[in-house]
Amino acid sequence: MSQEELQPNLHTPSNDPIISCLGGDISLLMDAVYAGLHKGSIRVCKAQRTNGVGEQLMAYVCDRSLTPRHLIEAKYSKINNPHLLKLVATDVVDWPEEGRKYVYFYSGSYQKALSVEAASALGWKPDEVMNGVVNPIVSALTELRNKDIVHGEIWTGNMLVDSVASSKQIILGDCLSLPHSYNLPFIYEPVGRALADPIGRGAGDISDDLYAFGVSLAMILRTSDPMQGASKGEIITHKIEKGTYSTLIGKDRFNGAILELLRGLLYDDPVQRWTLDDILEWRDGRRLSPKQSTKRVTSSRPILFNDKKYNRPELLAKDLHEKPTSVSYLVENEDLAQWIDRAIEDKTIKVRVEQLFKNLELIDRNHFYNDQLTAMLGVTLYPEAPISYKNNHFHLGGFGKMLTHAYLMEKDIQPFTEILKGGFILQIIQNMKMNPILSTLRSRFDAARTLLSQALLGSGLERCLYLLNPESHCLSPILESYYVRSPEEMMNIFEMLCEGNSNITLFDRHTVSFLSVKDRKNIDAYLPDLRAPESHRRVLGQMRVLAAIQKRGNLKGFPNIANWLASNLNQVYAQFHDNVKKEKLKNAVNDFKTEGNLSKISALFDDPKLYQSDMNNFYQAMRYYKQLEKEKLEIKTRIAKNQVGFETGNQIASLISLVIAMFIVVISIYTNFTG
Amino acid sequence: MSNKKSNKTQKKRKSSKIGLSIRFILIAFMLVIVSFLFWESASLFWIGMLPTGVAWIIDRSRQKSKTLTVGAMNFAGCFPYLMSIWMAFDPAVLSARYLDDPLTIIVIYGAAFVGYVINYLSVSGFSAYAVQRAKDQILKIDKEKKALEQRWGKKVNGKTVLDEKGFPTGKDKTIEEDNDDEESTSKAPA
Repeated sequence: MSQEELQPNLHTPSNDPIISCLGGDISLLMDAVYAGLHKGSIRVCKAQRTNGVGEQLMAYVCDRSLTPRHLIEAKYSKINNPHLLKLVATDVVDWPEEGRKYVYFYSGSYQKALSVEAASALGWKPDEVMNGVVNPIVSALTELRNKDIVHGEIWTGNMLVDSVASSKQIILGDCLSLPHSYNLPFIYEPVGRALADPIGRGAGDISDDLYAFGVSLAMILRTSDPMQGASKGEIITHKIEKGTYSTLIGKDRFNGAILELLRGLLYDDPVQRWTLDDILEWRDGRRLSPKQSTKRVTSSRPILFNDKKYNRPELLAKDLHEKPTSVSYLVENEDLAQWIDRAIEDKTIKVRVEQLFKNLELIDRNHFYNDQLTAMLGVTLYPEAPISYKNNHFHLGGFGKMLTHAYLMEKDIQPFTEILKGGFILQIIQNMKMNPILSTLRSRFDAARTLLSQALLGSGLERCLYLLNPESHCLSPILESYYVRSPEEMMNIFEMLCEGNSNITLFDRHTVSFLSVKDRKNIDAYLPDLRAPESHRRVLGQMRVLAAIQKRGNLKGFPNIANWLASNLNQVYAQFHDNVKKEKLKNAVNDFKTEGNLSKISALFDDPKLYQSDMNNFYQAMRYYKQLEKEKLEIKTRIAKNQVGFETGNQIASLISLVIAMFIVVISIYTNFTG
Repeated sequence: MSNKKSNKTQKKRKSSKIGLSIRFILIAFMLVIVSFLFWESASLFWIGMLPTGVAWIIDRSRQKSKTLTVGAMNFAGCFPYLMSIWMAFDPAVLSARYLDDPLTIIVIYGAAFVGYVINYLSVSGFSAYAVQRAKDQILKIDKEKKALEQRWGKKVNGKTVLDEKGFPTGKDKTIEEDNDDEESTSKAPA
């Protein structure tokens, strides 16, 4: 994205169905929608370029409560593949009655998707599938892999078809406007991710994309849905017990190469699942040797929980959250230990459960105990399962966006604070297989736990929101009607807010937390000043933060912000004793504020000697004042005692009389001797 | 060490006092001898210089400037007579004649009076001038104080209690000093 494209587009709400975007380059037609492509709360509207031939565009209008995938936007925009929607621009538009919304503009105009039904049976022939679906998706996935992007929304509802073109090749639709795989129907997700809430699924990896690709192929190829009418729980249970292939394909029979691909992609074990390289080899005609299949663990006798019998740890883990109060009973009466020990002959599960029992000793037996135990036991029995805590099912990577969503939708965030404050989440992470992503998440959760217990500016829940969801826009009340994603954008909005408004409060808990997360190196040094009880320190801190952002981003001048700062500097001037210095500073600030150079204004107050010399000179002046008073008192006393000039007068008199006497003596001597 | 030093200085003072008194006795002794040797001039001198003696008693200043003024004029009044006695064939007769003549005393004491007059005029004249100068100095000081107050604020007068950064705490220093004998919280660097 160019710098200009990142600038907020400031439209005023109106009833005009056409919204002018990107400085008039693009017209968004609000009422012209691609009804068949809507993704839940994401509207897809028609748009077109206003210059040239009027290129047709598709505008995906984001939902404010669902954080788009901003972090991969720049990488995605560089992709130029005929089987992926081409991202041409992004903008923030003022949507009537709904506030500012983020919009992705893709080139092209596609009226419909293959099938908007989550579970479909299209019954395509293998040849058609090869040309129309497999080749385009493999090409798109290769491109995405090269850019280190996981699509996250590969399913028939996001496979766009060009109704005008003669070829039946699909194009993969948008994957940026929603959190990773938020709109992906659960059936397209591997079991572990399918169990999580859509918002809490977190970022997946390419094997999840390949799994979704496999499920999509099954949907397109099969002629009937063997699980028609089945609930989500039933389908997932079937997937766990019989495997994905059996669940999706049922009695359909496929032959030849496509069967190999289907089986390869629908392995439930991600280790066995085909990789993109495997697909490329398969497409080149090489036949791959089937990988060793690992059997899912089944117990020799069932365990009873919530009046149901369970033969598999995964199924038990899936249902534990249904009755957390029974979980502690299950653990404490040693039913579970005996079941794991005697009925399940799997040492890895046994080791994990033993570790859990050890960790339980470290958990407080407070009123969250049952929920915490449920969450811990769930991931112990089935490590791929999401963490289930009080009806919130999430993977660690999805927690941040889930929290942001709950915060924006004004849902109860108590469970989230309990999760962050409780040490159990860190213990769960500790027992997971470490990788760089998990290590980052662990440090974030660890930091969030500390920050949540602090009430200081730049910490607390607000900081956790941005720390755990780095893609979130700033949720400050003063920026509510804007969509601020970066400190630079925030400066532009501040500049607008400060116009003729010197009393506005720019730095609140949200803005400070947002800036601190986005630009930690530049901002955290000034956090003590921003938190200071003295107003002059706060103003100086704010000025330094704003100047640091302007300098780092090499941004244009901000005369309105400079004016706002200048009008708030009275408390800072009051810190100087020297009125002359104050006047000089005021004049210098007034000179710089017109050009909006915050760095120059900040530099005026940055010299520590400025304050030290002022204080030293003040005390020197005090001493001089005292000296003058003493001198005055002495003179007054001398006048009062009539002593002024007394001694000098006497001395002069002596001198005069001595001269006269001398003269008389000389005259006497002279007259006597001259007769 | 300090005790030793003070002892030494005390000893020095004692010895200098003794030295002075010895010197004084010696001078007095010499004067007595000289007076006996030249009794003709000495009698006129001692009688004539009586106003200087009075001035010496009256003059409480350390420098004895008044005594010097009166003494110089008094001596100037005596000197022509003394000169005549020293140049006379019979100094004793001339000395007696002078002492007999009231004009001599009038002239000599008149000269001493002139000394008094010179002293009075000089002191009163010069102190009037000095008072005016002192008043000008007070005005200049007030002006400087005002300039300081304008530049640094009223707090520069040191009458208010200041915090560690030199800003008023809102308390009056005089009241605080009256209320307790604690030191002022003003932390002016030494």
